[in-house]
Amino acid sequence: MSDDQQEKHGEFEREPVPASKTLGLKAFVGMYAGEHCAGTELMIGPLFVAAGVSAFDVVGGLLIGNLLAVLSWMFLCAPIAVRARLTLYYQLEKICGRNLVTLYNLANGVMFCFLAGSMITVSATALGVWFNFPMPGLNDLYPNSVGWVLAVLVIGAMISVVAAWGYDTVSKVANISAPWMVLVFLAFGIIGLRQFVEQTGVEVNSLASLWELCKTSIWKGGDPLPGQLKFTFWHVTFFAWFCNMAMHVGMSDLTVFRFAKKSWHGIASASGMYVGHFMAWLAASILYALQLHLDPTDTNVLPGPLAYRAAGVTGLICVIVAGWTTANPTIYRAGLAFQAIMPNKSRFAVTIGTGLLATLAGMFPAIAMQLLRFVAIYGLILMPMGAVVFTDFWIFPKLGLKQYYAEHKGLKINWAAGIAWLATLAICVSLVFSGKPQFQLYFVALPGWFIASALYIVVSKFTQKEA
Amino acid sequence: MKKIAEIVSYLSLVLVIGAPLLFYAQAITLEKNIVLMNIATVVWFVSATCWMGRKKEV
Repeated sequence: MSDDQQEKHGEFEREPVPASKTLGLKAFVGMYAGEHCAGTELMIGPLFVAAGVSAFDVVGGLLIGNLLAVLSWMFLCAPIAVRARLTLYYQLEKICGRNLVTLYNLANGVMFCFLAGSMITVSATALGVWFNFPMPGLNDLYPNSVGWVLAVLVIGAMISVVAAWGYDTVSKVANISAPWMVLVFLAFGIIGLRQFVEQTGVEVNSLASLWELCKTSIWKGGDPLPGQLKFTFWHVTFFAWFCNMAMHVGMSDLTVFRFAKKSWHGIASASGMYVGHFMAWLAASILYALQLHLDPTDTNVLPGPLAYRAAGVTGLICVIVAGWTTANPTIYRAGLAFQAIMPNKSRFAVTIGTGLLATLAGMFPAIAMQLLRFVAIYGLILMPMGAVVFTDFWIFPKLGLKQYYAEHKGLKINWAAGIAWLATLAICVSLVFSGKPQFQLYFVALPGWFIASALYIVVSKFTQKEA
Repeated sequence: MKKIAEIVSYLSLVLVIGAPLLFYAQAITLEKNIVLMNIATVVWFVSATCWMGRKKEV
């Protein structure tokens, strides 16, 4: 098959990317900066404030946690990506067998649906400003007004239809919006900071006085809001590190970095981390902290009203575009994952169905309002397969074990990988339920990675010996 | 024409971030800042469409 034909039929889905198709660092810098400046950033920043973070914890935690995330892309994901140059799905199929990959696709698709649902929720909060219907509060689990349900339904239906028709147009809008959106996020922070200065009467004329304002008025620490878990330095660090765990440690971005010329191009992820997961989170959290400062009883985390108060219609457009442009490819990817399970159904029908599922999820504010927990669960569920890929690629040859065992033996399921995945999840869940602070949901993925690797090696020793 | 659109779009981005900076420096009010950001947003989307986003990067 020629390169053109390959591209047309799915961008080298079942063979290595040829050297002629590799890309330089710049392509990845732009992609990561755009992709990680999403609608959900407008939820995460405020939720940190609701979790009672202090200034040192949030700034220090984000600096370190994002660095760890970048290093994970650079030293775990990208080196395998540029050597194998395969998609995660194809590499997993070679390791785990077709049936286990189907199960992985199902888990991935469901997670993508919920994530897209929270992005639809974010966009719907912008409609609430225009149409003035009651919107959900911080601790709401269910939709609380007909207006809210209709707003989510309208936005979700539009996003689903566009995703089903192919998201080329939205992809173009996303590319055009990205630089503007980054600056609008930065503007949120600057405007919020000025308003804080005005409200508190504090004079900010040096870095020291700015830090003092941050400590005493913006990220004050103390108790979290009712219903929220207290976040410390370690929570912020691990959250920033693991919120994209599915992509770096979980190896989803093998699919992206298989196009990279060099493995150090993984450093491009820093653009996404420090623009989206540092600047944008802090900017959004400043707006929410200002809202609490003005009215401590107004604990609602609603990106639409927050953005509107700071930047008017531009802010609302930013909220809609940020939610829309990231929900769209997410629904599209979820549709692809589901279509792999139901190959006889048309992509259009599967994507519409996926979009409706995401829309339904978006109606329930519990997902968006508990986004910190959801993101941690998302990473945890997909992480063990990343450990399997890492171990299979680097450690198996050193132990004399066979790589790509399912392909080698023609297996539908490699039970060593299956046991490593499911047993790791069972162990991690039981650790979380043990209630010990060191095994909270936000931390447990770290020991989980080592457990998954060890299980995969031990069970493979048995299964490969028997064969 | 494309070159002019490109220059105009970069200038609009300068305004998107310049207006909040002027607001921070207390040179303009919040209302003026919002008006300037709205104008810059319209100009950005109109001008950038003329030259940007033709091809997906990855």
